[in-house]
Amino acid sequence: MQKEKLWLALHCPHLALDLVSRSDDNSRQIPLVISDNHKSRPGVFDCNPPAARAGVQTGMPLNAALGLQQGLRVLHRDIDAERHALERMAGWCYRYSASVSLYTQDSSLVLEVGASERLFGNARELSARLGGELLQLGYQAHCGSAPTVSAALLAARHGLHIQHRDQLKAQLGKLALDSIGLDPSLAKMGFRSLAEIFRLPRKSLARRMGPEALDYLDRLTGARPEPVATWQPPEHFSAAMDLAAELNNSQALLFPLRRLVAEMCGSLRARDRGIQSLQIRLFFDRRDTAPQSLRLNLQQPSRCESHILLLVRERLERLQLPAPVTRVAIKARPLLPFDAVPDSLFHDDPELGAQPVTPLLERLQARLGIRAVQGLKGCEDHRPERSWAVRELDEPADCTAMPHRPAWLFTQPQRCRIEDYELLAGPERIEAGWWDGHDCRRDYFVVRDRHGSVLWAFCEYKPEPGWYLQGMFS
Amino acid sequence: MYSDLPGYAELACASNFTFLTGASHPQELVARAAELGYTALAITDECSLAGIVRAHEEAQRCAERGQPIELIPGSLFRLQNGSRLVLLPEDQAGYAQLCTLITRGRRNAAKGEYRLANRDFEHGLDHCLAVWLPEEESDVLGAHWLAAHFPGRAWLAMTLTLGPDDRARQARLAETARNSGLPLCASSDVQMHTRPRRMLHDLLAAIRHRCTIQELGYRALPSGERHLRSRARLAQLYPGELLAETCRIAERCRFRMQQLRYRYPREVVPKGMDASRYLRELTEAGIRQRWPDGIGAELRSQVERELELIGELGYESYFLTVFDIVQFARGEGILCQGRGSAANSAVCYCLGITEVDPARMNMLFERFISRERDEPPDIDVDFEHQRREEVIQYIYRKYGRDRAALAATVITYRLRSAIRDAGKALGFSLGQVDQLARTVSWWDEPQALSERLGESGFDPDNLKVRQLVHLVQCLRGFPRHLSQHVGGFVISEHALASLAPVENAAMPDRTIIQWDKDDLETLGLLKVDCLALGMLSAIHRCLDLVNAFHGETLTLADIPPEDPETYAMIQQADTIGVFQVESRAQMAMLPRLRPACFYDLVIEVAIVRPGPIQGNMVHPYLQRRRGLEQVSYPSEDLRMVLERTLGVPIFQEQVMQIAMVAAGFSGSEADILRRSMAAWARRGGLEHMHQRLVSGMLERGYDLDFAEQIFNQIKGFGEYGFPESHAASFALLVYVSCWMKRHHPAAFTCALLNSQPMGFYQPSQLVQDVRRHGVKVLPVDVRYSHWDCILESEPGVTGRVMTGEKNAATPPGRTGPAQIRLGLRMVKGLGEAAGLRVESARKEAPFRNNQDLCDRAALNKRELAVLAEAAALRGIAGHRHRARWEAAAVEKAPADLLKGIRPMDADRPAHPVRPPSAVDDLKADYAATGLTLGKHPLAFIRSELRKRRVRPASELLGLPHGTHVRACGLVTMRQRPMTANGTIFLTLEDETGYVNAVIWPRLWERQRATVLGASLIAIDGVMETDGEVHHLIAGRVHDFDELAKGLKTRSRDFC
Repeated sequence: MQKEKLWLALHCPHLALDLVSRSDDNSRQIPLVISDNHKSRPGVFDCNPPAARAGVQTGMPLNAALGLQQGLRVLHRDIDAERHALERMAGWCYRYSASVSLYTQDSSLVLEVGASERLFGNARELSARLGGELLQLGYQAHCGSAPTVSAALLAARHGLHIQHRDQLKAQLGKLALDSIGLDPSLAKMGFRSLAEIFRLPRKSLARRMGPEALDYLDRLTGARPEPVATWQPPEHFSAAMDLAAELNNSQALLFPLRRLVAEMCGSLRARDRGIQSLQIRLFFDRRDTAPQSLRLNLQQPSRCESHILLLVRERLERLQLPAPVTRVAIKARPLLPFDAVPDSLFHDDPELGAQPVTPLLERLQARLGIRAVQGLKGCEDHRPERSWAVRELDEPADCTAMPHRPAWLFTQPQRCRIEDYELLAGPERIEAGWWDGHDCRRDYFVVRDRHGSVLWAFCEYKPEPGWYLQGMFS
Repeated sequence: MYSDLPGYAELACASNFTFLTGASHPQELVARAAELGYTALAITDECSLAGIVRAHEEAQRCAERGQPIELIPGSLFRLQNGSRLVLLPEDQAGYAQLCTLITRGRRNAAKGEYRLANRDFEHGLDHCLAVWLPEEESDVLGAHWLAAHFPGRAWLAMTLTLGPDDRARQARLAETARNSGLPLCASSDVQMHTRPRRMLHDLLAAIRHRCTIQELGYRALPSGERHLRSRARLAQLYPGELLAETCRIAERCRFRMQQLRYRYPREVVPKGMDASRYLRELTEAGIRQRWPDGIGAELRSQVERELELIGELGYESYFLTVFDIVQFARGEGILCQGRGSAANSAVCYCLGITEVDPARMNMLFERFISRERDEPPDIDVDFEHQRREEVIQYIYRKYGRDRAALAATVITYRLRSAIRDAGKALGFSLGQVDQLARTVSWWDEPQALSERLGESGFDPDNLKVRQLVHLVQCLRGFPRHLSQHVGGFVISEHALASLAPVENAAMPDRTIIQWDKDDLETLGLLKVDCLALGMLSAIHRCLDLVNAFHGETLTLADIPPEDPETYAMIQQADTIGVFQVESRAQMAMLPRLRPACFYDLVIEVAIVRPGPIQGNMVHPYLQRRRGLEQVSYPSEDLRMVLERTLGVPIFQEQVMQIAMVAAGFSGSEADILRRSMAAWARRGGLEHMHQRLVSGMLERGYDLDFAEQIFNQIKGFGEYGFPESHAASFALLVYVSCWMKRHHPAAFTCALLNSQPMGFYQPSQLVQDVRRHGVKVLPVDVRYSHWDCILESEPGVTGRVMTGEKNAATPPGRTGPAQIRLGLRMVKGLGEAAGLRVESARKEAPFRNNQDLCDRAALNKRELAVLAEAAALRGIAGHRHRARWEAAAVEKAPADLLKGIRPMDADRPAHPVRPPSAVDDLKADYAATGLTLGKHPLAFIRSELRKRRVRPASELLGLPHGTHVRACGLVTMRQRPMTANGTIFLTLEDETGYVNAVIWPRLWERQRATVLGASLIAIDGVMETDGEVHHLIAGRVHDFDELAKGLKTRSRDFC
C-alpha cells in the first residue's frame, strides 16, 4: 500500500510586516502599519506591536489609525513583494521536499513531508526546525500538518498536527466556525463548531450552502481529491528588499544584504547549485540619482554564505554612496551545477556574452571600470545644465530636442567678461528650479567671440550674479 | 508719475477661473493693473465669465481708491489648430453674443469642458472684437480666416515674453500681419499678476498634469514673464504703435458689467395688471384670511409700510415669484416654509410664504430690507426633503430651461485639499500627504504648525516643507471648478444666455449659470432658494399619522400657539428628535435659558452657534436673563439695536447694525462686512475690516474690549452666520416639532423613523427615548409590518394609516393608545421594492411559511435571510436561528407554476437548531436593525459593572455637585466642536439613560486610544451640576471593551 501523504503547511500571518522589519531591526520599535485599499478606502491591513499598543487595529480606516498615533509610519502593502518572498521561502523549503506549493492568498506554503520523514524527522520536529530557520531569515511562520492540503492550511493557523485521516474530523471539529471563514450564515443558524457541521445530513447541507463551501468541506476531510500545483524553482535567483529606514552608510547595507545572501545560499543548497557571479543593485531616494550596480565575480561556483559575504563586505568598503539607499536587490544568473569548472575572469563571461551590445563596449567597461563608458540622455528641465544626464548603456536615450540651443554644453558654466563678446540674439529668460533648491534667474544671449566662434552666454541675476559662457554652437 | 509713459491695455489675461492655469485671483489682477496705471484690463478666462463679477467689484473699489481702470469682460477660446482667440464685446449685444457662444460650447460638452468648432466663430459675433494669439507665427491661413470673418474687428497679438528668439518672432509676426492685412497689437498673454506667482503657476500646472513639479519639465513656463509688467518695461519691449493700438481697441469695447440689466419674469403678473397692484390684491386677500375679524391698526400700518418699501425698491415681482412657487407647493400638498431677510414680513405672512405671525414677535421689516443698504431681499424656501424635486421640475416647466438655471457654487481649495494637492505635486509620498493633512487645525497658527509638523516627522525648516507651507497658503481659496448651488434658482424674463453663460452641472438635466450667489447679489440678480428640509417631511408624516389614527384633520395651522406643556417639556431639555434644539449643546442650554415663549426659542436657536460662543455672548445673556446681572447698554444709540436681547448682541443683523451705529459703517460697507463674514472662512481677509471696525468704535467712545468682542463674534458668524430672520422661521419648526413630541409622541417618533437619516440621533436612541415616554414599540414582523413604521392600537389593527385606504374593519374613534410597529425599512439590506411586495402579498392572505412568503412576495434567498436575521419571521418560522436555517433552504419558484403545490420543508434537521441566547439576539438585533427592543446591552453586564463600582446614569443625576463617581456606557456620540479648543464631548448610554462627559484636551491626548477607539468606556470623574444640567468631568478613562466582547454598537462620531 502506498504510504499516506502528509502535508506540512507554513502560514506567515504577518508577512507584509516581516518584509519591513527584516530589512531594519529598528522598525520593530516604531509604530508601523501596513495599509491596503479596502473598498477603495485606505485601511489598516496589519500593524506591529507598538502600533497595536497605541490602539491601532487591523481593518480600521487608515485615517482613524493616523488619528491615534502621532508619527505613525505607513507603508502600502506590496503584494508582488509578498509573492516573491513566498517563492524564496519555497526555494528554501525545497531541500526538505520535492513537492512545494504556494498559496499566495493565504500567505502560506505547503510541502509534502510524508516521503521525507525518515530524513528530517516527523512533521512536528520538521516544523520546529523550519520555523526556526525562517525566523533567522526574518519571517514569522506558523506550522501545522495534516493528511490533506486544505486541512494542513487550516492546521497551520491553529498549530495543529494531525497524523491520520481518521483523526481529521475529530481534530478539525473542535475548531470554532468563526475562525474558519466558511459561509458566515452558518453561525447565524446557531452553529458554533465545525463538528456540528460535519454531523449535518449532507442533503440538508447541500440545499443551504453554495457548491464552493461544500467542496471545501469535502477537501478538508479528504472525501474529494485536491489538485496541487507544485512549485518549480526558477533557473536564477533574485531578491530585493525595501529599506524601512534610508541608509546613508555603506557598511550599514551589510545587515539587509546578509539576509538576502543567506536566503540565496539556502535556496542554492536546496537545489544543489552554485553561482559564479552576483549582481547587487542599490536604489537611491533621489530620482535623479540612477541606481548603482555592483558586480562580484567568483573564481569558481560557490554557495558558501560566509565566503560570499566576505566579498560583499570588501566591495562595500570601497563604495561611496551618492545618496541614501532605499532599496537593495541581488540577482544571480545562471545557477550552475555546483562542481562546474571555473571560467577565467574576463574570458567568455557568460553574462557578458549573453548581451546583444557590441563586445567592444563591454570589454572596455570590464577593463576600465563600469563608470568609464557611458551614454547621454535628455531630461526635461528649462535649466540647460540639467537638461541632460549620464545614462547606462542599456537605458533608453529619450531626448526632447530643443531648437535654439547649442549641441555642446560646458560641464560647468564659465565666468566671462561680456565686454569681450558681441551680442547676436537675446535675451531669453530662464527662471526655474525653485523646487530643488537651485532656483535661478538668467538672461541668455547668443554671442560671438573674437575668433568668430558662436557661443551661448548668460547673465545670472540669482543665485550668483555675473556673466557666464555655457555652450558652443557648432 | 506715469504721464510720460505710453498708455496700455492688457487684452489677454487669464485669472484663476481658468482653472488650474491662471495663478492669480481676478481681484488681484485688476488691482495690480490699476496700480500700474493700465488704461484697461480685459479678464479673458477660457470659455468662461465666471471670474468677471469679482473683477468688476474690484474695479469699483479701485475707482473709489482713485486708481480707475476700465474692466473689459472677455473670454478666450482654443481653436481647432491650437491657436487661441480672445473675444471682447463692443456693446451689450456683443456681450449677449459672447454669453451665447460660451453657453453653446459648454452645453455641448461634459461638465467642466467645452467644444466649439471653428465655424462656430464664423457667425453671430458681429458685435465682438477678436484678438488672435497664433500658435505658429507664420500661420497666414489662420490670419486670413480671421480677417475674413471679423472684418475691421480682428487683431494679431504680438506677445513678447523673452522667449528663445523674440527678435525673429517679432519679424515673423509682422510678416504675417502684412500678408493678411491684420493690424498688430501688443499683449503679454498674462497668467499671473506678479512675477513671484511663478511658483504657484508651476504648482497648478503640476496638479493639472497630475505629476510632480519636478516631472513637469518643459510643461512649466520657462520664466515668470507672463505677469502684468510695468508700463516702463513694456515701453522698452514693444514698438510704441503696438501699445497705442491696445488702447484704441479698449476704447471700442464700451460694454461694462454695470450696464447689465436684469428683468423679472413677467408671467407672475396676470395680463393687464401691474405688479404692485397684483401684490396689493394678494396681500389684502391674505389679510382677510389671516384676520377674518379685521386687522389691528398697528399691523395694518406695518403692511402699508412694507408695501411702500417694496414698491420703492421695485421688488414686487420677486415676492410674486416666490408666492407662485409656494402656491404650487401648497396645491400639491408639499409642506414648505420661507425664511430669510424678507420672509418674516407681514406681507409674506399674508401671502402664506411663512407662518411666523408678525404679531407674535415684534420685528421690524426694515431690518430685513433696508433702504440704505442696497441689498436685495432674500427669501429661502424650505420644502419637504423628498418632494423638492417636484418643485424644481415645476420651475423648469414654467419658465423653460433657457430662462431658469441654478446658481453656481464655486468649489475652492480648502486647507485640506490644498495640502493634499500641493503635497503630492511637491513629491511628498501618499503616506506623508495623509500625515500632513492631519495637521490641518494648526495652519492658522504658524508656531503651533511648526511644532505639529515636527511631531509628525517633518522638519519645518526643510526647504520642501517651507515651500509647502507657502504654496498651501497661496492655493487656499483658489477656485477649482464650478458646482451647482443647493437650490438657488435664477429666473429671468429673457433668455439667460444673454445675461450670463450657462453650463452643464454634474447631475443630468441640471444647468447652472457661471456665477455664484455673491456674484448674483453684486449684479442685483435675484435668486430664489428652494431648499430641502428633512424636518418638514417628518412633520408632514406626523400629521398624516395622527389624522389617520385618530380620524382627525389636524393641520399646521391648528397647532395652538404658546402651549405651556410644550414649553415645560422644552425647559427640561426633553427634546430628543425635535428640530434644532436636540443637539447636546442645545440640550445643555435649554434648562439654563428656560424658553417660555416663541421669541425665547428664536434666541435659543441662534445662541448655541459659533458666533455668540466665540464672541463670549452666551454667559452674559444668561446672567442677565436670570437677573443676576444688570441689563445695560454700551450706549443709548445701541439700546434700540440690543434691547430685545437684553443688551447682548446675538443675531447677525445686530452685529451689522452695531457696525453701522457704533462704528460708523455706511450701508454698503455693512453689506460688504456681511458678505466678507460669509466668505472669510473660505478665502480669509477680514483683517482690513478689523482695523476699520475697532477704530470706528473707539472713535465713538466704545471701549476696546467691546469692539474686540464684536469682531470675534463676526469671525464666529463666518461660516455659520445665523440671522434673526432665519432663526425665527426655524423657531417655528422647533415649536411645532416640540408640540408634536409632547402631545403625539408615538406619531412623532414614527414619522422621524420614516424620515431617516436625519437629525442628531439614530433610530436606536429615538426608540429608547419614546419607550421611556411610555410608548410601546413593537418589533419588525412580516405578519404586521408595513414598509414604513406605523401606528397600531393592537397587532394588525392599523386603520387607514399610510395607504389612505378605507378599512371597514377599523371602528372610528378608537380608544387604545398608539403603539409603534417598526417597519420593514428598519431591516438593513432589504430594498423598498421587496418591502412593498411583502406588504401587498400579505393583503391577499397571511403567509403560511417561509416558502409561501418567498413565492408570493417574490423574495430571493438573500432578502429572506436578512428578514430572518432581523427576527421578522418569528411568526411563521420561529426563532432567528431556525428562521435562518429554513430561509437558506427555500427555493426560488420558476414563475407561478408550482405556486401552492410545493411540499412543506421536508428536511427539518435531525436534531433541533440551537435557539439564540439573549446575547445572540442582542447582537443580531443591532446588526440587522440597528436597535434592540430587548434588554439594553449594559443590563447584561450590570452585575460585573457593580463589582467595578460603576453607577448607572439615572443615579448620577441626583448627586450633588462635585461628587466623585465612575460611570460607564456605550459611546453614542463623540464630538469635538471647533469652538471648544480641542475638548471632546462624549455621550455614554446605559440601560437607564445618558451621561454627558467632558474630556479636556490634556486627558484625551494622553488616553487617545481609549477615548477615540473604545466603544464601551468607563470614566472616573467629578459631577458638575448647574441646575438641571449635569456633566461628568473626566479624570481618567478606562476601556471596558473586554467586558462587552461582541456587544458592539456604533457611535456617531463628529470629530
